[in-house]
Amino acid sequence: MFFLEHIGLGLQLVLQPSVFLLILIGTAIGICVGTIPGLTAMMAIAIAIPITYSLGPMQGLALLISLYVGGMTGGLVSAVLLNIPGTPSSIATTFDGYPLAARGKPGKALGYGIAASFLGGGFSYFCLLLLAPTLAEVALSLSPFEIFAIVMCALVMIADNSQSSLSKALTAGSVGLFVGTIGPDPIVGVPRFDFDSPQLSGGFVKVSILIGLFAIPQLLSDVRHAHEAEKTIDATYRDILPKLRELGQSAVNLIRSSFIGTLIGLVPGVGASTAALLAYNQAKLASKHPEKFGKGARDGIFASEAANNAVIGGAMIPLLTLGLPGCPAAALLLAGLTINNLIPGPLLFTNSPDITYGFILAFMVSNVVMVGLMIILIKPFAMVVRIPKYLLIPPILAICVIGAYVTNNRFIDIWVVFGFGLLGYWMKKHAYPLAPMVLGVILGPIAELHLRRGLTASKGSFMPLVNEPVCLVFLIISVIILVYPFVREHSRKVHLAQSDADGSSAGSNRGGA
Amino acid sequence: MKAMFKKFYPPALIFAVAAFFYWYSFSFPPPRFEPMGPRFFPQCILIATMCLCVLEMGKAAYQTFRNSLVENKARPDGHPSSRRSEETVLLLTTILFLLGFILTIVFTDIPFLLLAFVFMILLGFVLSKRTTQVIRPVLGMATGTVAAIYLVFDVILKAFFP
Repeated sequence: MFFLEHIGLGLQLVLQPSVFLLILIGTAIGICVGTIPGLTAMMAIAIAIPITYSLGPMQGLALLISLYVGGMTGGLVSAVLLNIPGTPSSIATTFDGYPLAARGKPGKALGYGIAASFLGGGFSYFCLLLLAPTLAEVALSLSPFEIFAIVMCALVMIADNSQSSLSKALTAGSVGLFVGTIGPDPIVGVPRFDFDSPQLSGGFVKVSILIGLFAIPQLLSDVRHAHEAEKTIDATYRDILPKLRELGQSAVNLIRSSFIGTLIGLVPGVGASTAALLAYNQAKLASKHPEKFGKGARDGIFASEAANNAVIGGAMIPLLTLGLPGCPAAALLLAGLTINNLIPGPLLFTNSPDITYGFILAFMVSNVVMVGLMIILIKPFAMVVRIPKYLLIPPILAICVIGAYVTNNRFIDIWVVFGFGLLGYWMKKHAYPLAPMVLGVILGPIAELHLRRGLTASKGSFMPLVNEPVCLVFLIISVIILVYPFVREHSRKVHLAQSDADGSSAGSNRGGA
Repeated sequence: MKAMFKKFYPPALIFAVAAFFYWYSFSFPPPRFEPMGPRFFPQCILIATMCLCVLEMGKAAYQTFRNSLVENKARPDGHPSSRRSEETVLLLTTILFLLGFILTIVFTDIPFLLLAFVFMILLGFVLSKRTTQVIRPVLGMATGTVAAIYLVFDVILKAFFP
C-alpha cells in the first residue's frame, strides 16, 4: 500500500510541467552529446551539476537523469551512421548497426537500436523500482565495518575492470581516495592538507573535481582532431519503428540482454561496454544464424542496445540502497543528490520517499521521452554528428569555467577544474584510468567515515573485518580480484614455457631422426 | 633509456608527491576522542599509493631490461612526426588559451560574457583550419553560446558571473 502511495507521490513530482520540460530538454541534449563521438553523457552531467544548484531537487535530478538516459542512447546514432561508437557502451552496436546502415537501411538499424534501448532501459527501471526498496531495508542492518568492506571491494572491482593494468588502476583509485581526504576530517573536523589556506580548509568542491576530470581531459584529447568533420552515411530514415513481429521473434534475446545489462549494472565498475559485449556474444551463441552476426543482424543490435541501456537501472540499485556509486555516472548522480541534501543510502527511502520514487520514475519518463525524440528528430540528431570539434570545444570549456564558478562564487573552484583537468589528462596519457580515481574521490570519505566509526565501536580492533561474515566475504572477493591476474599471468608463462619446451624437444627429435 | 624514463617517471612523480603528503600528515593532531585520529586513513592511503608506485617502477625497470635483451626493431607507427608536432602545438595552445582565459577572469574586471565571447572566437579559429570560411560558424557558435549562458545562468538561475 505504502509502495503504491509513494509511487503516486513520485509520479506527481515527475509530471510537474517544469520537471517534464527539463526531462525533455535534458534528453534532447543528452542524445546530441551522446551522438558526437568524444563527448560523453558523463561530461554533460558533470557540466550540468552546477546548474542544478539553483533548481529545485526534483528539477535538478530530472535534468541529470535525462542527460544520462539520452546520452547512453545517443551513442547508437554515430555507431550506426559512422561506425564509431558515440559512447564507449555502443561499441557492440557498430558490429551490426553499421553494416545494416551501409546496406541502405540506416532507418531500420536506428529503429532496432531505439526499440532495444527503450525495452532494455524499461526492464532495468522496473527492476530498480521493485528491488531497491527491499534491498534498502536489508542495507539498514549493515555495520560500519561491513559498509567499509563493501566500499573497498567496489573500488577493487572498479580498478580491476578498467582498461588498464591493475596496479595503475589501483594507483589511480588510491590517488582519488587521497584527494577525498583533503579538507575536514569526517569525525572530529580537523582540517587536513589545507596548508593553512582558508580556501582549502573546507576541501575541494566535488563538482569542480568531477568537471575537471570528466570534461577537460576529454576535450584536450579531442583537440587533436578538432578541424576534422565526420562523414556519415547519407540516407532517408523511413520505417524507423520495428514491427511487432520482429520484436516478438527477438523477445527472448531482448529479455536475456536486458537481464544481463541489469545484472552487470549491479556489479561496481564493470560498465555498459562489457554488458553490451557480453549480451552480444550470448545472442550470437544462442542464435540459429550466428553467421549473420557482423553483417547487419537485427539480434546483434537488439542485444547490444538493450544491455547497455539496462545497465543504467542496475547501477542505480547500489547507489540508492547503499549510497555506493558503481560507475562514474552514478558518482555524478550521487553528487547531484548530495547537493540537494539527499544522502543516498538505506534511509533515503524512509526520509524522502517522494523524491526517491520521483528519481526512479524520472528514468522511466526519460526513457519514454527518449523514444519519442529519437523517432521524431532522428534527422537533426544525425546531422549533429557532422559538427566539427572546433565549434564544440571552446563553448564547452567556457561553460566548464562558469559552471565551476557559480557553484560557490569562488575563483578557487575554477583553478580546481583547471588543475584536475590537467592532472586527468596527464594520468590518461600515461594509462592511469580516470574512473577509479573519480570513484575514489567519491567513495574515500564514505570508506573513512565507516572505518573510523567501526574502529571507535570496536575500541581500535580490526578483528570485526575478519569476524563479521559479510566483511569476510567481501574481503575474500577483493583478495581474489587482486591475486587472480598474477596467478593467470604466471600460469600463462608456465604454459608458454611448456609449449616452447615441447616444440624444441619435437624439433630436436626430428633433427635426430 | 628514453623509453625507460617515459615509463618510470609517472610512478616516480606520484611516489614523490605521496611521500611529501605522508611527511606533511604528521603535522595533524594526534587522536583524542577515538582510536585512530585524523592522520590514520590518509597515511594508509599514501602508503598504499607509494607501494603501488614502487611496483610500477619495478615493472618499468623489468620491462626495459627484458626489451634490451630482445632486438629492438624500429617500427613505423604511421603517424608522421610533423602531424604529431602540430597536434602538440594545438594541445599546448588550448591549454594556454584556457589558462589565459582563467587568469583574465581572476585578475581583471572585464565582464565574463565579453571575455567568453572573445575566448571562444579566438580558440575556435585557432583549432579550425584557419580559413575565412570558418569565421561565420565560429562567430555564430560564440554568439549562440554567450546568449545561452546569459539566458541559463543570469536570467533563469540568477547566478553571479565572475
